[in-house]
Amino acid sequence: MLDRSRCLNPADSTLDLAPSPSVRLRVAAILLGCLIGAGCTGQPTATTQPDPANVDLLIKDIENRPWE
Amino acid sequence: MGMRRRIQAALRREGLPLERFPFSCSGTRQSSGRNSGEFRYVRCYRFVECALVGRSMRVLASILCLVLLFATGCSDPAQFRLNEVELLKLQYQQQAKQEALDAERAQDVVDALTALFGTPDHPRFPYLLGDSDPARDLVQLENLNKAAGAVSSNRSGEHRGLYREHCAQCHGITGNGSGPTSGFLNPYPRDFRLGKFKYKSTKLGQRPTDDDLWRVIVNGIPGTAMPSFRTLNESEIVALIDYVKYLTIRGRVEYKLLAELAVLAPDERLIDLDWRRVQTEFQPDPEVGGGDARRDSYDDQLAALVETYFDEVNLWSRPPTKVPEIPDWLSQRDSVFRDRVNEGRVLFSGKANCAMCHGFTGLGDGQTENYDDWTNQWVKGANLDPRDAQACAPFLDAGAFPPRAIRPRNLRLRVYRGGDRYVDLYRRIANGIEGTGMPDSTALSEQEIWSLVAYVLNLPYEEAQ
Repeated sequence: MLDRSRCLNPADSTLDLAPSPSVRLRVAAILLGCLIGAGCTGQPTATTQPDPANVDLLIKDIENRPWE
Repeated sequence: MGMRRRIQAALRREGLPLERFPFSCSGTRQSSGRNSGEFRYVRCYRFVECALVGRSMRVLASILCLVLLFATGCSDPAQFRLNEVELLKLQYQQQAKQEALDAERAQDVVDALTALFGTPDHPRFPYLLGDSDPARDLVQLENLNKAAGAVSSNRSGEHRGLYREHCAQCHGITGNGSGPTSGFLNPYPRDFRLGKFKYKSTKLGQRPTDDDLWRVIVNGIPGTAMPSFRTLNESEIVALIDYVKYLTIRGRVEYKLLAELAVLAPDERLIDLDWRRVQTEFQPDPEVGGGDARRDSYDDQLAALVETYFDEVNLWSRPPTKVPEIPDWLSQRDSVFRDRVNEGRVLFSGKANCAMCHGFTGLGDGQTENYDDWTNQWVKGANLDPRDAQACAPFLDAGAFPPRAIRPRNLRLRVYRGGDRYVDLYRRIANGIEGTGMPDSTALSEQEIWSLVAYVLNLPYEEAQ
């Protein structure tokens, strides 16, 4: 386990300050968790997607006709 | 390494000697003072370096960053969700023909709605009657663009994506009340698509005024999860009001189009877009794709679609009901007030029949079996027992909320969701509450309604009888 108090002390630089494998694993797990979490809270998607070609045609037809 | 360069640049700016700060975890001993600026820089750098010094860690972090970049950049744009609950309800109903509700025909509804109202990122609101179109006064496209889309702000601090920033977590992108938090809330967030708003100044069956929506957004709804958004500025609140109206009109048009879909013959389409596309591809040959008969049919379908939109737009902008002048005795609490309270007590359990739901003591323990219109819409429509979880399961899978009986208000708590002003209480009694079992009171006179207001206000402090 990384001794952070010693790591943060610039006067004590003779130590091997690299994070231990377990710390790296934890950091990786947290980052992965954040990634999955961010992916899982996205916007709900429609069950049926609009067809852009149809939509464009309809917009043209609706807007190009005179409506009373 | 960028971090290293930045720290080196910072050291240079401060005029600190670089050679005294070895950029390695196995560097030489430092001699800087503990409270000096040098110490702070070294501490900052060493902290970062200790976290990322390992080669494998750097590789792993790089891969994760890359994955994160792809994950955030490749997500689909937000889409409105089809009202699958209504679709399922129509399938349950006897008159609905199963084949009329297949995916191809549901696609017609989605395409028609998108043509009229756009998408959550790019909303549309067609002004089809030129400059004098009343829809321009109802909903302004500028406001929609401010409220829609992803959350962002420009350099001048102007916010966009207001709906997703403040509302969508409960009310959902589609305004169907199915945001991520909705299942945890009681009462459920409002589903705008039904076009019913509880706390308003207009009559039952009418849409709320802008002032009503303003009041709800600014004050919130006491006793519910709806908070106050008083910190938003005026233009932001106006943008949200327009967006709520937009979602409501879109939802109502969707209901109507789905209902039309359910009564179509097997060979009919809501909008004959297949013919329209053939026409586009083979123009100018009018005989290709069915000729004049299909053209006329397409014209009729288009006219019906636009008429449905107009019908919904025209339901708005109704005036609020008038409230008679507030009587002086209501605030003076004198002997007249006590007389009126006694009259209100008699009315409460008599002519007005409030006690049937609110209980004879006003504790809200009269009836507990009623469901609101948002539940009844599919429960009664599909002829289901809301207590039968198994029968309701397909609807819950389609996005409906588990049925929850509405509880009449406990009037002794002095928490009035529609507002605690005299005028609010008067309107709740006179106009009723849309979508609930609370009826309007056309049989009561103005004085009787004020007497009931006096009785309700006096309830929390009522002396033992």
